[in-house]
Amino acid sequence: MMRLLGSRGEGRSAPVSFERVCKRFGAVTAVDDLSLEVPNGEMLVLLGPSGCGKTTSLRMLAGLESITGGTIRIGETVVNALPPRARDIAMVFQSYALYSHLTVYENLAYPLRVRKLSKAEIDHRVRDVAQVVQIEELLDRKPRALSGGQRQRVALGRAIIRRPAVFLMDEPLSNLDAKLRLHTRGELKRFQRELATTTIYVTHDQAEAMTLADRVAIMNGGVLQQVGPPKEVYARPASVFVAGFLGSPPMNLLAVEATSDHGAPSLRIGETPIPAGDRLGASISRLRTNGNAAILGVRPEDVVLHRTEEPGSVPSEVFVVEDLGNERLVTLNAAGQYVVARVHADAPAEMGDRLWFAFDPGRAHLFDPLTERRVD
Amino acid sequence: MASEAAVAERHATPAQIVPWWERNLAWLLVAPMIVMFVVFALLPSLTAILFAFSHIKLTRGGMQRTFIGVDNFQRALEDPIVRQSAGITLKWALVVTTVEILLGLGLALLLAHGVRGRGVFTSLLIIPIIMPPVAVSLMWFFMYEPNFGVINYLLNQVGLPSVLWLSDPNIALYAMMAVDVWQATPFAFLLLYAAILSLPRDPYEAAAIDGASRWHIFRTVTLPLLLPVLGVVVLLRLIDAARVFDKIFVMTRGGPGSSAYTTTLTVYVEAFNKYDFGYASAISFMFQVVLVIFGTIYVRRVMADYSAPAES
Repeated sequence: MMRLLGSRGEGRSAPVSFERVCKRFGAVTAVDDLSLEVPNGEMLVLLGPSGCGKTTSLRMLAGLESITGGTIRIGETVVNALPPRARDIAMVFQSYALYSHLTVYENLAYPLRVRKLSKAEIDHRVRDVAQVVQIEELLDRKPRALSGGQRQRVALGRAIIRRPAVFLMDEPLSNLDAKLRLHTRGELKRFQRELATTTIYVTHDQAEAMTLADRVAIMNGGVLQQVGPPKEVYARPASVFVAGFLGSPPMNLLAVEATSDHGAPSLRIGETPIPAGDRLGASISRLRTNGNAAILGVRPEDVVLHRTEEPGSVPSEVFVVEDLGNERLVTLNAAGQYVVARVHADAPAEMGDRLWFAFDPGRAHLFDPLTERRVD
Repeated sequence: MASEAAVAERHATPAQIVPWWERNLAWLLVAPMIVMFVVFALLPSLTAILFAFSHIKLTRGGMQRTFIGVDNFQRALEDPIVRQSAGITLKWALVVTTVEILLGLGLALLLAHGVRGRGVFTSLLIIPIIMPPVAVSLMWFFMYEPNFGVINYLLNQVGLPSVLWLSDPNIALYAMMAVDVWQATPFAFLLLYAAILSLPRDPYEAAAIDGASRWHIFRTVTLPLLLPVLGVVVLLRLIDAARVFDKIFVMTRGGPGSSAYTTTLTVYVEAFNKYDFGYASAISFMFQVVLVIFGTIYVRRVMADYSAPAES
C-alpha cells in the first residue's frame, strides 16, 4: 500500500490526463468523451453552469465516482480502478468537510496519522502548514469555533499537508462571503504558484475561473467546449455557448444575414447593412450554412452609441439603463433584438431614447448557426 | 380624510366588529387540551403530593387523611425494599438502554450500508414497536413457560437443559430485560437509521481520500456526527426504561420474591396491595423528582455540547 502511495515519491506534483472519458448515470450522460491534458504544475479551472459535468469529472479523477469509459491518468499511472486513497490526491470540498469533533491540529494531522507517520514528523508538518495557511493560533480550536474563512484555511491546510501529486478543489470559495472570497482567491493563487502542484479547480464563477486559471476548460451539457488561457477563451470564444457564458454582461449574440453590398461582403442587422471589413468578410465566406443566416457576437465594451445616424450604425431604442457607478450598461432594442452596451458613466442615455449603435467589425465574432461553432 | 376616518373606526371598536369567539379563538382551541391536562395530570399530581405528606386510611365511611409531614419520605429513605428497588431500576435502565442502543446502532449501520431487502427488514422491525406492551409480555410469558414454552423446547431439541426463565431469581430479571430489548431496540434503530441516512456525504469522501479505514471513519466521522441523535435516544430510552412496569407486572408481578421489584412495582404494591396510598405517593414523588433532576442535568450538560449548529 505504501508502495502505491509513494509511487511518484511524496511531494512530487504530477500531470493529469483524461482520455475519451465518459460518465453515464443510467440513461443520462453526465460527461461525454472528455479528453484533456493537464501539464505538471498547471492550475486548470473547470468552468460551466451547474449540471455541465465539471464536478462529475473532478469526482471521477478523485475516485469518488466510477468511470463509465475512457482512461484517467495521474502521472504515468492509470487510476481508473484505484481507490481514492491510492491516487495521491488531496481534495478541498465546498463544505470544507472538516472533522467536526477534532481540533484544527488533529484535522491537519489526520491524513498523516492515517498514513502512520511518526508523531514528531506529524507535529513538525502540522506546525509548518499552519504557518503557511496562517492558522497557528487556531490549532487548539474546533471547527465549530472558526469563521468561514478560517475553516477554509484549515481545509486548504489539510489538503497541502499531504504534499499530494494533484490538488482537487470543488468550489472551495463558494461558501465565503463576497469580500472574503475575493481575498482568499488571491491567496489561493499565490499558494498554488508557490507549491507548483497540479491543481484542478471546479467553479461556476467565471471571475474565479479567469483570475485563478492558467487554463480554463469550459464545459456544457457534459461536453468540453473549449480549453485555453483565460485571455484566449475570452478573446476568441470557440462556440456560441462560450461566447454567451464568459463576460459580465456576456457577449451580445445577434441573428444577422450575410449579404453582399455592391460586391463587398456585409452583414444585415434588421434592415441595416453593415460593411463587414476584411477579417469578418473572410469569415463570412467560410460559413457553411445554406442560406445566409449567421450569428454575430459583439462584446458590450465594443458597442459604440451615437446620438445621430452614422454610416454603418444600427437604429435602436433604449430599453433600460443600469448604472454601475464607474460605468453604465445600456440595453438597446434593435428591431426586436437586444444589445447591451457598456459605456462611460456619463454617456447620455435615457429609457426610450432613440440611439444608433455601431461596432468595429474587426473586433466582432462570427458563429455558424448550425454548428454554433466559431467561424474564422 | 375619508380613509382616515375608516381606519379610526376600525381601530376604535374592535369588540363590535370581531365576535367574542374570534377574539378568544386561541384560548378556545387549546381549551380541550387544558381541561384534559388539569383533570388527568395536574389534579392527580397535586393530590399525590398532598397524599405524600399524609397518612391515608381507607375506612367504611370513606377516606381519612392525616397530615404527617415528611414521615413518609423519611420512612422511604430507610426502607430496604425501596433502596433495593432503586438499585434494580437503575440496573434495568442502564442494561436495557445500553444493549438497545448498541444493537440499534449496529442494525442501523448494517442497513444503511445497503443490505439487500432493507425495506422489508425495516417494516418487520416496526412490528415490536406497534405491539401493546401487555400483549408482548403475555407472548413472551408463554414462550418462557418452562414446560411447554417454545424457548425451552428449542433448547431441548439441541440437547440443552430447560431453564426456569421467570422463576429463577438469578435469571428472571434478565429474561424480562430481553423482552424490553426485543420491543425497544427497533425504536433506537429507527432513529439512528434515519440519522445515518441524513448524514452529509462530504466528510466520508474526505476520509476516503485521506485513506481512513472503516473503523477510523466510524470513529472520527459517523460517531461524532451521530452524537446529537444518540444523546436524544439515550435520554428517551433511559427515562422510559426506568419507568418499566407492565412487562414485569404481567410476567412475574415483580417476582420471584422481590427480585424484580423496580420502583414502579414497589409503588404499586404499597398502594394497591397494602393500600398505603400516602407512602406510595411519597415514593412515587421522589422517583419523579429524581427523573426530572436527571433529565435536566442530562439535557444541560450532555446535550448542550451538541446543540450548537452542526458542522461538516
